[in-house]
Amino acid sequence: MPVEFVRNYLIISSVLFSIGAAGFVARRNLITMFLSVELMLQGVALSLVAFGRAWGNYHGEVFALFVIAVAAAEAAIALALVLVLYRHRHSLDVFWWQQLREPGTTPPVPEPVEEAEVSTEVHWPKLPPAGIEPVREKETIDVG
Amino acid sequence: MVDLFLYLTPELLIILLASAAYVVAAWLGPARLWPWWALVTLACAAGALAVVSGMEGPEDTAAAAVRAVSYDSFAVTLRWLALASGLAIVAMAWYRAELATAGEYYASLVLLVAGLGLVAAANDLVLLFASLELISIPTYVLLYMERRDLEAREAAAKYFYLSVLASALFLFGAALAYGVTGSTNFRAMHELLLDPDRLSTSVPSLGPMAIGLLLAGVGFKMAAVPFHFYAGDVYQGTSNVMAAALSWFPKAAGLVAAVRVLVFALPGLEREVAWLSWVIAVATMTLGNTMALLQTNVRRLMAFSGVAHAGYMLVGLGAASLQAPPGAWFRGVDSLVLYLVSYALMTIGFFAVVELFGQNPGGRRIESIDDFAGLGQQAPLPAALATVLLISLIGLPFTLGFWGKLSVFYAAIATRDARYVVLAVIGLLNAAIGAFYYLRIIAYMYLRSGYGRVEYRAASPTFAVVVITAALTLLLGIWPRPVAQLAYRSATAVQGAFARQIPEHTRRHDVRRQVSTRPFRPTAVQAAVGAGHAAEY
Repeated sequence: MPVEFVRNYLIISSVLFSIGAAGFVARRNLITMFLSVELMLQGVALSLVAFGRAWGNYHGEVFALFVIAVAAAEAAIALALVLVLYRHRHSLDVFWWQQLREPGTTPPVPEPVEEAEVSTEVHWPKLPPAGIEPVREKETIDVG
Repeated sequence: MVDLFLYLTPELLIILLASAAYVVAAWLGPARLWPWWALVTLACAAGALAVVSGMEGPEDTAAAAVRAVSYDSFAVTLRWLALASGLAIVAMAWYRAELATAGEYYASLVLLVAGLGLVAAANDLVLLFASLELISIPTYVLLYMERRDLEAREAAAKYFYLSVLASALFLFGAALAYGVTGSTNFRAMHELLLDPDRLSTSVPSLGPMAIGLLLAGVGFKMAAVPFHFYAGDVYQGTSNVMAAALSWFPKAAGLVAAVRVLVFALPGLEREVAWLSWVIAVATMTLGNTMALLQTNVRRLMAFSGVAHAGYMLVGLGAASLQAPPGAWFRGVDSLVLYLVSYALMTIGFFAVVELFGQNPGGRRIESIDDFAGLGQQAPLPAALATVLLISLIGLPFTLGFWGKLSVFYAAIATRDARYVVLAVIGLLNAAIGAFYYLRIIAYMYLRSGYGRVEYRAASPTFAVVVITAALTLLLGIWPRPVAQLAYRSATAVQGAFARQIPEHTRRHDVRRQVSTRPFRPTAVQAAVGAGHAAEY
């Protein structure tokens, strides 16, 4: 198989992979970090499918399906874990999690992040609460 | 197809019973039943493995020869080793039945065994990847369930994030390996790369990248530099049982995967494997031993000791990728099997000693190495057994650890490659450095006076693990012949499987068909784009 057949696919897939890797290293938000890894996996899946097409067999497609299935399983674990971590610190910043370290070293102080403007006003959704019978006005029978 | 599932019965049985346990546990909650359930599951798997271990794969046609699993005795040896170590880990975790999530806990523990067994049997990149994940995913859950404090949460998060990153690296390497060869089956890959007219033009450019990324992926599992960062933090932040499981299952799986993929499946790229594992082995051994010298927390110390041991294993891996001269006592792959057996015994045994003293709430827990002080007088028998295991970890004679180190370094020297002779010398120097921190623990046990009450249950399964591992380390150290023969047989089997030609009369037809049922025909647009590229470059 000459590389030319898959060159464009390979370029895109390695760009996706590299963006994912850069995102994993650079971002501090737990969810964004996980999504970066997902991006890397999708890059891999793309190259697998491209190779499968170039070689004319189904190994690549099968592999890509496995990659997607495993990524889904990992996402399930990731969200559960992130939720628990969030409940402890009320933040998704990874810098909150650096108590375990080499004895005698001090944790690096994170650069302050500009908090996004979040309105503190609570807008509750306007749906009737489930399970409670809506209170109605006095029932009238229209006989007209 | 039926015989393939038959061959995998032990692992499938474990997966089935574990899935049932996950469902039942939601209603049953904590119960004394769960450790017994784990024991029964492993016993069933052992029975099934005893039945299928003699199975031979069909070899009459090429289609039958390139199966998703390999039937060699290398796989069977490691599956037995996985079961035995799983039994030891379940025994260490015997008193966790009061955990709120006991059912899920034991189900995840036995899934690790199934994962390692499947890694050992896998003969296909897809199955290998799926089974490596079958080890990783229960590990995340276990790290999360084991302890309920902030340290444990942090350890679980650190392990999870780095592990998914390493999976992505491994996968990209696997994708490139598939791209280079045109098949995901190891024997077909081997066959296709050896075939000179099939040798594609992409091997020189993509091959080394595939090797590098695959080695990065398995390097994380083995805790090799530069993917060792998590080891200290994660081991420190989890329990002794999980530290034992982490120091054995992923490490062994990574090494076995490396043997199959890097040593056998990709011929023609040995030079890259040998160089890379040389560099990583030197860095891993030196850094692991140096960092371990500085540690006081016992699990952290053992984490870096595990890093150093991963370095010794990489010496064997590099030696395995080079041709050993005929008649050598130990070749690369046998030395690895021997090393794995010895490492399983000593690391699980040592963690069992540490766990033994933590089981009684009144007694002294062992957290830092100061807590070993005076154990020689206060608990003479466990201290003596711990000494045996520590001597084996150092690699002194009359223990199995000695034979493990000897075989790895011998295999490195036997390659007659100047780099690997130097590597063996560096390894020996490292073993000498490593002796210091193990001997320090022995010195604490016998030369210092203890404080506080020491309690341990002599009738507990954990103590049985300590006794059995220490006894085997000593007995097999004095008489290593059975293990050495086993290692030799399994290494010969795996080499034989790859050296055997796929049956000639069907080979041309079937293996070709494997890679070209659907010849690539560019569409009009692709052809135009391709022509444009050709003009451009």
